[in-house]
Amino acid sequence: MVTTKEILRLPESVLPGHAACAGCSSSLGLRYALKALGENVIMSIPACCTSVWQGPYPKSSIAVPVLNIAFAAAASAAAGISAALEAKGNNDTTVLAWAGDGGSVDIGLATISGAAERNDNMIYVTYSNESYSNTGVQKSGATPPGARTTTTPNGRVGFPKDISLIMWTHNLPYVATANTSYPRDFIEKLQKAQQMKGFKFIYLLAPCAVGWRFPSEKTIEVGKLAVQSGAQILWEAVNGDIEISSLSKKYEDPTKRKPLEEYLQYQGRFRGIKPELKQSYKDYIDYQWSIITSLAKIR
Amino acid sequence: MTVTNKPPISLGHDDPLTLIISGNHAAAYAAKMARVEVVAAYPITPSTGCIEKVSDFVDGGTMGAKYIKVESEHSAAGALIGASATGARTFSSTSSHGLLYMAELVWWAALARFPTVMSIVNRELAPAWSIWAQTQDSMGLRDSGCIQYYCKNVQEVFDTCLMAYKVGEHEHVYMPSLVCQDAFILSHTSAPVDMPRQKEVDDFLPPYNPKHFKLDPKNPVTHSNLSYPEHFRGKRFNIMESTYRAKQIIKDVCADYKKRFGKFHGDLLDIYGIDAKTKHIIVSHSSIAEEIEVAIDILKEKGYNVGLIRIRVLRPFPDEEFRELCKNIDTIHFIERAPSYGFKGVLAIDTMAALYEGSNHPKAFHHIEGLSGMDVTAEYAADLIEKDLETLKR
Repeated sequence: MVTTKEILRLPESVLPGHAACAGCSSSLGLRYALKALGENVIMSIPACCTSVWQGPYPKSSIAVPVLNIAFAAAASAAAGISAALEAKGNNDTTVLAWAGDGGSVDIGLATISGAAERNDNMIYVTYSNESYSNTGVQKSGATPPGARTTTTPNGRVGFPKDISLIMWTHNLPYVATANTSYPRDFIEKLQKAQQMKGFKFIYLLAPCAVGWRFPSEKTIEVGKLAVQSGAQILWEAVNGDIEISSLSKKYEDPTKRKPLEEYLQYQGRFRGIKPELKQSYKDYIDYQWSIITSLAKIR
Repeated sequence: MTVTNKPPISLGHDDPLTLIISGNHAAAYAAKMARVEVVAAYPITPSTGCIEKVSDFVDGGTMGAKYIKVESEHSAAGALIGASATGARTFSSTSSHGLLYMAELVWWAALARFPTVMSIVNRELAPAWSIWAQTQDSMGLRDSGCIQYYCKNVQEVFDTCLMAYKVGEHEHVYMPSLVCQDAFILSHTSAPVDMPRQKEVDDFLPPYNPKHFKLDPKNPVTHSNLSYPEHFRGKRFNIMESTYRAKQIIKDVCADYKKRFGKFHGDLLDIYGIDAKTKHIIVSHSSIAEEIEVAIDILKEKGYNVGLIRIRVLRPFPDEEFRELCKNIDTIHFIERAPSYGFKGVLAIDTMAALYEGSNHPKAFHHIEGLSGMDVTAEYAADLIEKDLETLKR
């Protein structure tokens, strides 16, 4: 695993002065991603928080080439970039599609599925703040049970879609989940993906201080609690073989997990929700663990 | 970074060739001879013949393009944008609902200044389901900035696809193009198409080498980030100027093409039977216009001094050219497949607006004809015009 020192020494491609909210983890996430992937990268970014915080024309806070593109088109534009590089005999530039959960799980689902099925050569990162944060925090397909958003003021009813597993069913060379509070794990996963050809998918949980309503200095802590409470399972699948990442491994045992309440306590989005919705979140977490641990046994 | 900016291998023919092919295949041959580097397309009737032919070329090893078999037209346009932004020459083909489904990104390609070329087979929009000719699909994108060509025959489809790259990739233009042909009437009708030697096409159309923008890690640029109004205005006026400027470039490219290959289908407008004494002008488009050429002959035999203007390029619109041709006429007659629900037809709206700025305002007659591919025969068209002219005598 890379050391923190090594991470700090890697070149910075997310420049100071960007326009992200205080406590934003998606800007941290991209900072780590571009440290991991280096400078020979071309990005496609659909409508999402990053399309705002990269900053307005004529400046930019992202030091690799970026093609901003429509909401549902991150993966298709990246497929075009990748095909053009191939047509021109360029085999060493990494294509990174960087999209939010709404742009991946909902409006972009067909597009990402198409690119995945074709195994188009790119790394696709869904950085998920579990809502449409950019437009003022509306419910997305990735919003967890019970969470209040501006379109679910009484709390979200029902389970979210698991885009990572949807991607896993596409028989991809690499699928992983990651968390902005664990940069070394995320960087290692990106670097592993970068060595492979084809469609590589990483789901990056990115806590949103504004949308989740926690104090901006709590971003890292909230992210860590997502893993420590078992609410997020970190795993990776190389050529389909799912393996639970070391950071999540011990939480396979539910007694080792921190209480979900500890994860939710900082988050205003869960404040005062009905007990049955909180139970629904717990049920969802148990259900996720049973799926991932079962799938991890398949070889 | 290892970039070999060589055009991909396309095995063109060494000698001039005449093939009897459909409009769909004509567009596919043009894409091959243009040494297109990335194709992205999704099947829709009646444009499938084009992408099937491209697939044959690619799988047969005679066309070196990367062909992305996308899951929707929206993604086809997304992929073209990504590839064009990376400096590749790109091609697609679609029709009707397919074009509307990708509309968001057709606008994007235009406003982002990526000079892709798409072969559009003009087909009706549902409901009710119809697969036959009508031009509202592409004319609905009239204001997007795309250069729009409407072809009257299969040879013109082939030639125009090649010319569209030359125009769109011109450093004073950088706009995408829609090369339109009528469903079935051209897309599925075989006709002789003369093709030049590959080498001659290569001389006419060198590899795409964008000077305005390219995604390149050595020169990182953020494309299309948030722009405040003070910057936005300039970008849009730049497009206005570039598309106007394209008028002269289209004329130049058509003249150059004629000189090199002996083929000319008109430039912005295609004119038939107009002389100094012409008093009545029919305005039409696409394959209907070729039929109306016969109607002009019929009407002339009956003693009417009638001529035809075919709008070959709808955007940029040939406004001055229209005013010049119409300065002494008494009547103008529109025969078009393109209603604008609530106000006449698309050709009429644009032409009348152009004539308003001139000194002569001819009396206008409007005919929406040929919907859903209904035949507009020469006799029928001649009869329409004769009836228009009869009303003047009353």
